[in-house]
Amino acid sequence: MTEARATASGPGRLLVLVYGIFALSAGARAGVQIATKFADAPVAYLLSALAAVVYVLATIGLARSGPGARRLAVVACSVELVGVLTVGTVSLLVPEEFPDATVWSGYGEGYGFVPLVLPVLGLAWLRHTSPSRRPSPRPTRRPPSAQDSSEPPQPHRRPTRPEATP
Amino acid sequence: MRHGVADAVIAVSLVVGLGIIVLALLGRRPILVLLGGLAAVELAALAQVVVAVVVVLRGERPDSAPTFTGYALASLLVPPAGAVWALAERSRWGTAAAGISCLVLAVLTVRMRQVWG
Repeated sequence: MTEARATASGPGRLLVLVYGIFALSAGARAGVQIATKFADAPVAYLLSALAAVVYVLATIGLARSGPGARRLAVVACSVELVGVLTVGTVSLLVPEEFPDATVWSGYGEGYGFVPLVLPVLGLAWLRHTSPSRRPSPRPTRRPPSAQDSSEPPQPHRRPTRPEATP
Repeated sequence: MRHGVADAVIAVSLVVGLGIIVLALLGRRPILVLLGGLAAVELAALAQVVVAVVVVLRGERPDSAPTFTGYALASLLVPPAGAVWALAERSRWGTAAAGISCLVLAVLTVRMRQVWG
């Protein structure tokens, strides 16, 4: 629990909730499709199953804290974003390959485009809560090297304290 | 008649969900109100599943029985799971999570209504 900021608290509470719902519904949907009519649209149903796995992993990664969970969440949300963009585009270009819809068909239009928005929000939230972001991101300062040894070792004083001047 | 039950569940979960989201926007976290609201939508979901079981026992079938069963189980699971998840968060975001859980039940019920045919 030494994580800079837990991804499952604050607004993250809602994010994990929605991810959990999608993990549940995509998993159940893929299970029903594969069990009852796999031959009808194998590509679509395998993609549904892949989407379900990605949602489960993203939910776990966001709900738990620690660097491992964070890495899992980043990978899952990234795969999800690539997946929804790829499947969304392909489903519009070659609709005959998708006789039955997946979660990601048409960029998730069957789910109110939530599948398109969710990975963007997830990645933004992971970035917002990232521990490396806590100290404001600035270019790394060059450490003093041997070439600078002619200069006095202490950093040059800026006029921040005018009362110290004689 | 079945659609009437579904419409009632949708109405209750929308009203409760939107009401709780207003509380979240106000920064409130009234635990008893949240628990009461989630209990109300859970009761509505339970009533709907009982009606569905009775209708099925009388010989009617949904268009896709496995899908409908999945949605029915999810509709019973979402309010209590949402309550646990929402109340563990000690901020307005917990309130918002309770409200979203109710709206999810509304969406599930819309789908159940469609899947029944």
